Amino acid sequence: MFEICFRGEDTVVLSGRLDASHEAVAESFLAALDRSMTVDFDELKYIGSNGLGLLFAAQARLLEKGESLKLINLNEHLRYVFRLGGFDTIFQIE
Amino acid sequence: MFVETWLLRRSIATVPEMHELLRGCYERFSIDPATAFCLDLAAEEVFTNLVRHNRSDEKFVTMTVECSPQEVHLQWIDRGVPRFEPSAEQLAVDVTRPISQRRPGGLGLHLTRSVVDALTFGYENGDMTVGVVKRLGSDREETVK
Repeated sequence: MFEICFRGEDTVVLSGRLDASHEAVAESFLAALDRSMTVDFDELKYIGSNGLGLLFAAQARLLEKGESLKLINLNEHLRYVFRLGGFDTIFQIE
Repeated sequence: MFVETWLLRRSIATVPEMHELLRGCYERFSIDPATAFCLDLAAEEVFTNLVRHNRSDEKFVTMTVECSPQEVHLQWIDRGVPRFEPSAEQLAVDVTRPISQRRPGGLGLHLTRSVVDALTFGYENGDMTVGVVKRLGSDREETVK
């Protein structure tokens, strides 16, 4: 199960497990972002490389416009994988 | 030693089912959450690559799990496919580059190689075999940092 939604005007909430089977849902949501957002990972238990790629693509697109994503509440497993992918230098992670 | 084999329908939609089957193995062998996360990541990457890149008339991919007190070994056999093995260039990803200099692709294999202790590719008589080995307890210190 995976869900992605807005909380308020400035926060995107991910929950469940973002695996390849949910890629289309995540992709369409993230592709529509057009300004800086905080992405809350508190309820996300797992992300695969495809999900990481979607976040990367969203960040690359937003940075070109002077906007960016800030990531918060990553659990230790997510932090580990983000660090392995060099994402800790691409995103502001809190 | 625990060994079990399943037939996975050749579809990206099968990924949650594959993860659920693996979770049963993790619980049976008390695999810690950090190791389970790494194995799920590697399994998803291997399986989705087989589904997306291998042309085959076969409807299923075979997955075998072997668990021992020392390690977990996952293996997928994809039958009736053309030979394919990632090139050194595909496997080489510089994750230290700024975002503007990073090329698309390769991240999944890079992550897989980083979170497991061995990633192997084999091909014989039209059957492609991909194996992943994860030694138990090998990354606990990494995730606790």
